[in-house]
Amino acid sequence: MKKRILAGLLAALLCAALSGCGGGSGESGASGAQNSAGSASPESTADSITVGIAQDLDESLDPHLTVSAGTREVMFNVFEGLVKPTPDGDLIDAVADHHEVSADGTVYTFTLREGVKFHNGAAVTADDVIWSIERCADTSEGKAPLVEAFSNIQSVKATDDKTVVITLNAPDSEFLASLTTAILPAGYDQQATAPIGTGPFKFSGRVAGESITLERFDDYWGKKPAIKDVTFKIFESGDAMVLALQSGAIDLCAHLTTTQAAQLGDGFRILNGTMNLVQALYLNNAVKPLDDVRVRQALCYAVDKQQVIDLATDGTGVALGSSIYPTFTKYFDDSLTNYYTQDLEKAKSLLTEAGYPNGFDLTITVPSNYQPHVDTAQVLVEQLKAVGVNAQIELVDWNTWVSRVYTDRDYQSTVVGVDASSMTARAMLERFTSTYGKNFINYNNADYDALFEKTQLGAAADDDAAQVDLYKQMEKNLTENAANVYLEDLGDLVAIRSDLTGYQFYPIYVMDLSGVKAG
Amino acid sequence: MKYAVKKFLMLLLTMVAVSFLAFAAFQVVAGDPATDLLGTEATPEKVAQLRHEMGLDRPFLVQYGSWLFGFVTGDLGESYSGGAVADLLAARVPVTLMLSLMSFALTVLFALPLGLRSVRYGGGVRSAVHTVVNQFLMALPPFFTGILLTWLFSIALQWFRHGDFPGFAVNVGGSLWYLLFPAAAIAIPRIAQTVRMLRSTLLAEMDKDYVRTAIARGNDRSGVLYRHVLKNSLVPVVTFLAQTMAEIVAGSIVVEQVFNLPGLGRLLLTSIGSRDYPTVQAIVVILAFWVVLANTIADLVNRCIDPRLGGARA
Repeated sequence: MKKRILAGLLAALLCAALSGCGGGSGESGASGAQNSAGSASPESTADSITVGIAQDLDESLDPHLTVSAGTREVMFNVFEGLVKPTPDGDLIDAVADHHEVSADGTVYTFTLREGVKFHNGAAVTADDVIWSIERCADTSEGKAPLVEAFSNIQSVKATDDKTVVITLNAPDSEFLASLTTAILPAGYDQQATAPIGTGPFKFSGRVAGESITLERFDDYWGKKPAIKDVTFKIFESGDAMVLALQSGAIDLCAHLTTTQAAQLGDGFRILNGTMNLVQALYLNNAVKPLDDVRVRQALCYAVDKQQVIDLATDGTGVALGSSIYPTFTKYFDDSLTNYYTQDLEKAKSLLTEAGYPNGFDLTITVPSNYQPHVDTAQVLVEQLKAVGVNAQIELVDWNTWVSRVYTDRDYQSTVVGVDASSMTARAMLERFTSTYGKNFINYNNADYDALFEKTQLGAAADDDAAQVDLYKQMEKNLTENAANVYLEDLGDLVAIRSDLTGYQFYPIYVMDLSGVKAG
Repeated sequence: MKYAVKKFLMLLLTMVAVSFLAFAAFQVVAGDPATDLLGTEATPEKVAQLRHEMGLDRPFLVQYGSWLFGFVTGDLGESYSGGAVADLLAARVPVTLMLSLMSFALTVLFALPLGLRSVRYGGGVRSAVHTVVNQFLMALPPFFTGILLTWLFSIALQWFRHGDFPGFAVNVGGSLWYLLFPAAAIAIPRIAQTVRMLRSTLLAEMDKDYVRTAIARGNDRSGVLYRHVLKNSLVPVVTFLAQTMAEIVAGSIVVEQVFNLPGLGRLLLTSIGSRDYPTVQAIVVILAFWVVLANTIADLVNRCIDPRLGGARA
């Protein structure tokens, strides 16, 4: 009797299973509770989409205080500055309608766009702009200004309701890029928890550690998004992220690994962009034996970039040769990409010259939460063996990496990606000047420092072409002195539900959802 | 009474010891909340300044003491990543608690009948098949069972949508339904282990003289099994189930990752990553409490089952 009941139950289960499998449309109705979650066929229309992200945003959503790239990436949809970046890497007017720069490059005059509103319905006035800029330029109590470039501001004034004039102490041709800084309502003090900006989406809610939701801003001055609601859901485990994509709980997800992308079926299209960072074997230029330029050059000759790209990232990366990534076309110098090509004999003779005929031991410290860097390090270990360098990988968690490698500089070498906080060459190159606080490779080269100083001074800062040329010389300096073993800009794989289009890559680390639509 | 007081003191002592060890562990690893908050904005000066602001430059024992004092007076402190620790926990404890209880219920519900049945196979082919299947299930780690269950029930059968946990505040039924799958992922290897444990205990008991005597006197086999053998085998089984309670919580920490559940486990892992001491401390104490509680309950239950234990242990 019992057996018969059991058999009956099993049969019922099987039926339910099969019907659940076949019935992709309509109610599958195997269980009441399950309908709350919906059937797994894409339930979200183009009206609302769910985006998977790998970590929670910062505690404060105040854009002026944001430090993490992941937060900036998401909140790009909510905030705008006087100008904003385009997918091509240009800057276009956003809150400003147009702007003029005086002949000597020190006076910027912005005319505000008509009809730009904050998410709370208030119109943007010159006062809001001045308040926002002054907040980020504030140096009272000996603080460093929130936006470094703003320390150059002499005054910010409104000549009338719609005109703001910014006067600089010295010309700075990169100044405009810093004006992507968000314009916020003057005096509003809830930005951390209920942010208000002028972007195409407005903030609608957040559950710490779980999700954050945005809603279309119907009074947006520009082209309004096609999607009404966006939910960013946090998946700290990469496996869970892939399973959620497969089961249809998320519609879009960036920064997938090639392995993860390969697991997704027909329901998704994989878009291939770049991460906009410089991945390299970063070398601590201050420790033996890496303080010898011949040793560093030997490492460069020992490595085969293309093989690294093919093996570690399935060929999705783009090779580079200095500290500017390829999508940053204005400053990228492709002639440096193959400055060193794999040449084991040369590498060995350089090592012999430097007094290491039998190679040496090298520790590569890698943050364990970034799989592409771990994979890259593994390929490097094998390649370095050929010239007698006995490399070992030391995996550390991100916090340990920041503390030991980045802050205390207590390491030999590390594989990471370095990105730009703003779309300027300065953001990438200033960090290797000898006195800079974030010069974690301890690069110390007088020519390099001098070149950087020139880029910031009078004539060069005023003349774009001259400045670009100086920055390119700095890149060349890094390459020639083998500051690091430069590898690639990693591929950025974005999985997007196959019926959605309009996702665009930017040359900076942001995720723009305003163009995403069905069909 | 004396027994209860003694148990309670042990409980307190265990929790203090565990929290101290957890705090001490953070002193050994590199990185702290300041480096986490600053990330790649970190410079040695900025880190030093923030450390001072956060009171992280105080001596270790002072930091621990101030945390302990707050904890004892009912103040769990503020998480470094925002919000009171008490609020963070309040949102997550129900998920982990429900997941653990469901896993435990599944374990007991399936393991006891299956274990009893398996004894009646005696030897032979069925026993061999049973052993092989059981060994296989026992060896499955919960995260792997979790992935298998997701493939089967979420992707192939579409019974639930992976990653779409509605939350108790929104939909209690939907949440319980979703939790059933991670609970099964945790329970399956535990069921297999409990079955094996029960089977070996029962078989050992079946070989005893009184069983042979009882059967010789004409009692039928299953009657003896249920009336005498089972009762005499229960003490080790209950102890084993108490361990199961503890291990289920450990399992849920991993499985919460696989099913993206907003529970204690996920909070614990992120808090460790960001060196969020107050949150980690609070969770560690809760977990320690849970383990000690499970063992205490097992002791009490065993004393009810076998009154002789009372005299021996009190």
